Amino acid sequence: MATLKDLRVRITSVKSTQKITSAMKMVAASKLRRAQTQAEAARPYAQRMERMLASLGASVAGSPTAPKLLAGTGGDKVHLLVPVTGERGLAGAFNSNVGRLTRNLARKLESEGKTVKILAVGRKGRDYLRREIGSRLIGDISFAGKKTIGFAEAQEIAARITQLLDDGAFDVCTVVYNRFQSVISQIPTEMRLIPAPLPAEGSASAGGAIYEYEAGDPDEPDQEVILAKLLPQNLAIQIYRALLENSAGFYGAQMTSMDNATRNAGDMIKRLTLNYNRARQANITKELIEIISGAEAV
Amino acid sequence: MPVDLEIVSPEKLLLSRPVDMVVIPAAEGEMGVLPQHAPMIVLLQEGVIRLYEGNRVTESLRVSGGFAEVTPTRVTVLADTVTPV
Repeated sequence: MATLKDLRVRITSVKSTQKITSAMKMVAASKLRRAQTQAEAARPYAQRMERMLASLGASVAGSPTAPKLLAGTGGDKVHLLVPVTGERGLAGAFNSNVGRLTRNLARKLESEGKTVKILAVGRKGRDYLRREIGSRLIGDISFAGKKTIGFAEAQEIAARITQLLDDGAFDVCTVVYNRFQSVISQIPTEMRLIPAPLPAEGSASAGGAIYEYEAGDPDEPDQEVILAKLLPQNLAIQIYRALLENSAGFYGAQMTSMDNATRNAGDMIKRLTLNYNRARQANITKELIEIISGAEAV
Repeated sequence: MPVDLEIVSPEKLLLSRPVDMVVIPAAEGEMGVLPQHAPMIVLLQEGVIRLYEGNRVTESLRVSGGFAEVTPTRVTVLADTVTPV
């Protein structure tokens, strides 16, 4: 049976834990708001790029000179997986969900006789995958210590991937990230980057207009020159989107898990206080009995 | 009749308003776009985008490169980076 002092100490310690978790919840909530604004601000560019890509891609697709980023290498042998996770924990199952999906995907591909390589973005995913299937890890990118994620970071990742593609290190590239469904729900999702899935021409709101193209290079068809510029940019945009959704989702997950932790701490304090009061009452009763029986004996 | 101009960088929508004419630094040289321009997709080089309202330049923005989509009623500039001049 815990003594009164033990209980008091435990109550104080749970109370200070509760203070920490509730502070973390507030911080996550304000960071979440910022991350959501950033994600929304990035949307117009992506939409317009998709529109341009739809009209351009259709005119080049199927041609033998189509760029690798669009058409892939033609093979389907080596898969590159890019899991995007957070830098920090205390966000419930947020990071391990992506890790698990990546691992299962890797197992599935390997059982089909394909080779899997992994380029981990974010510290948590890297640690998880190193433990689980470390031999497939070919590199990692981490933004530890960076306050905000900008487009430059996405371009850095895109450059890494393009470099690997040019070296012939993989055929298909898939990014795995937490799609931001709502503040309380993030869905681990896989999205193919290379070969680029083309938005259907019909979905473009260009109204079926036929464009002229102009790229200023007299030796090559203008469409292809533009496309060659547009595709790496599109790759970076897709990655940027995944990064932003990841960071918004991370703060969302952290907020929910810290909210739960705060509530749990509250319940625990209630229970401990009850125990404490019972023990105190029992003590008093015991002392009274001692006094009374002492008085009777006299 | 004005033309709707939108300037977007990867990080945000920077500008969206109707102008009378816009001059963009296309890969083959500067290009003035008036309403009812033929649909085009052009590559941009580094240069300055100038917005004309009435007969005056009301705003200039430097872009480091990017793309522009021109339709008869709309000009969309997808710029890599944008800095005000």
